[in-house]
Amino acid sequence: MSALLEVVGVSKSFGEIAAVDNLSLSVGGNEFFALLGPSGCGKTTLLRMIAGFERPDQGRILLDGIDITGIKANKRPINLMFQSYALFPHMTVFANVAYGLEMEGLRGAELAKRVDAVLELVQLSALAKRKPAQLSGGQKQRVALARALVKRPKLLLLDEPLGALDKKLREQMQIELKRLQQETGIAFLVVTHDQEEALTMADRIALLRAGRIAQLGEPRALYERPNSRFVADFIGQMNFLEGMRVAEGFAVPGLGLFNAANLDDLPLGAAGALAVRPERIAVQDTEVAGAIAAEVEGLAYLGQDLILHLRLDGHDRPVVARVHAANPITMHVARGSRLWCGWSPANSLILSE
Amino acid sequence: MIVSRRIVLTGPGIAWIMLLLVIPCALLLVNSFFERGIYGGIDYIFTFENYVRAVDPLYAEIFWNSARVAGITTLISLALGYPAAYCIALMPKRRQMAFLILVMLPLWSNYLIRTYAWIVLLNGEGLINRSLIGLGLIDAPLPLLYNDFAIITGLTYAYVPFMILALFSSISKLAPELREASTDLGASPLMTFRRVTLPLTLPGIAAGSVFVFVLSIGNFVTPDLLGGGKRTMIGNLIYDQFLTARDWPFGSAIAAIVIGVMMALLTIQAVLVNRRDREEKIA
Ligand SMILES: Nc1ncnc2c1ncn2[C@@H]1O[C@H](COP(=O)(O)OP(=O)(O)OP(=O)(O)O)[C@@H](O)[C@H]1O
Ligand SMILES: [Mg+2]
Repeated sequence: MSALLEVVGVSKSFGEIAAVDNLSLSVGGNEFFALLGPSGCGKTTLLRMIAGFERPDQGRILLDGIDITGIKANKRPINLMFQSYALFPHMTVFANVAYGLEMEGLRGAELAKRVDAVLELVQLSALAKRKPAQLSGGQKQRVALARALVKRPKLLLLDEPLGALDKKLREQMQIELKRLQQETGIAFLVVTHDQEEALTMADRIALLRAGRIAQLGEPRALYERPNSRFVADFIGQMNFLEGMRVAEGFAVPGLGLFNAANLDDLPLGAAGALAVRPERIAVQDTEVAGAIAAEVEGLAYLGQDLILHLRLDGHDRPVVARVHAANPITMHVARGSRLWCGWSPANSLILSE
Repeated sequence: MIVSRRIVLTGPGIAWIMLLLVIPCALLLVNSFFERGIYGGIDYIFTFENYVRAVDPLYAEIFWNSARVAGITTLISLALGYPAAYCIALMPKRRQMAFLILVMLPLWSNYLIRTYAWIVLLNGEGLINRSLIGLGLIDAPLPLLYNDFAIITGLTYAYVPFMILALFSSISKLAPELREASTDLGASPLMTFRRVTLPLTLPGIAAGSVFVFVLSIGNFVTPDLLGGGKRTMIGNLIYDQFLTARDWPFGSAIAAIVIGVMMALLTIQAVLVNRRDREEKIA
């Protein structure tokens, strides 16, 4: 995949705060790329620099190999969908969508044809004559999307496009966005702080932390092979068992020796944490050799899953396990139940930072 | 319970308005339908004569002239006030306050003194003429004082703060993302102003313009001092009828017409703003 957008060593500070710090990434021509990270990590700032509203202090931004760092926002073949949607309140839905095309000099039948086609695409044809104030949140979101899509940009930037919607609508729109991206073939760069959303939609994810990339890769890689505790903790849920690499394996005080997928990468004597996902912990109610005995301290029923808070014998920090509702133990497990749990080395990682 | 509290809370305000605004205006209106007494009093004989006289070409011309001066003042205030309000609205919040205070500062000093200051600046021997001559730009003093130019200058100076405040409140309400969205969609700065900023700040423009126009058309001090009494505006006419000609009913009739025009303008403006707000309220 040839790179459409290349961000090369870009930095931006506001006073003392380094909002974006020597950051590099590239987005492919037909890619759905997600920028993920906690609040204040620089996602919006990076997006605004790519759109042209903020000038980088350092670094370059390339589009199709051409340096666009100095090009004005209104001359870039990139469109931004604002977090607040920023629909023009004095214009109808049709006029909002037509605005960008008028700026390209399009008029009359050709203009109407393109606007109608996009309104069709986002299923808003019936509301073309309404003003933004007469629309629901989800409808506004689709107008904002249509307004950006109609320009047929090479790259569409979306700043928390689903942030203002309720959970049900969000999930619906996640699928919708993905469909639109595939149908139009436009590269999407989506900002979100919802890891589930990023996992669902993106081809690749860059997880940001304090203006830098913590990890960049495909959703599966970030979930299954996080490179740090921060990534492991941000994407999904993770149990950490503190310990140290010794000759025979990874020693966790009070629990014993463990093996892990990346055991050999860690030098002898290094401290770290054994990381296990809650759903990768196998839980049984009969004693088996090699399993760790535990007591149930609390449980939360989620419908399809049961969350168990376990205290492992000999270990002082509680561990979370996620058990599927089909598992027979969910029928009778209660606070104080004795269980036995374990996991395969392939399902655990040692994280040293 | 709630009703009685409402009366307690709004009562003093309503009483105040009744006493100082509604009753005097009502008296004025009543007086305008009576005849003038021989020695300047009022003869309580009903007549439309005052209104018939008011539309006489002689007075119509004064109306027209006043509207023209007030109109030009409004346009100049708008042209000066918009960029100023726009700049202040884009400033960081802390600095905005300081500049708004600077804008309002002249309003806290006496109107007459501020108007006299313009005489000092504008007259033949004044600062402006002397500077221009000193710089060799002109040979003889320019006629800056005792004409429409002076009146419009004085009125603009006096009322431009109201324009700025009205525009500021309208421009600062505008989300910056709207301008950015317009830029993002390919609009030049000028196009963004024409298609987004200007239409969305129209309520502020209307409010500021009506303010300045209404205040200007009724003003009699500035035409008197800076116009040198040569140029009569509607305010001077009313003033003269009450204090010089002592024709209270006729003065009342003209005043009633001016008040009517002002109220019509304010009502139209309020109705337009209301309708817009209903249409565009950000949900
Ligand atoms: N115009 C600005 N002036 C000063 N500081 C700013 C400005 N814009 C952003 N910052 C700071 O830069 C940092 C990054 O902000 P940014 O808006 O990019 O974060 P974000 O990742 O988009 O966060 P969120 O998820 O909350 O939207 C923050 O610390 C923020 O306070
Ligand atoms: Mg943000």
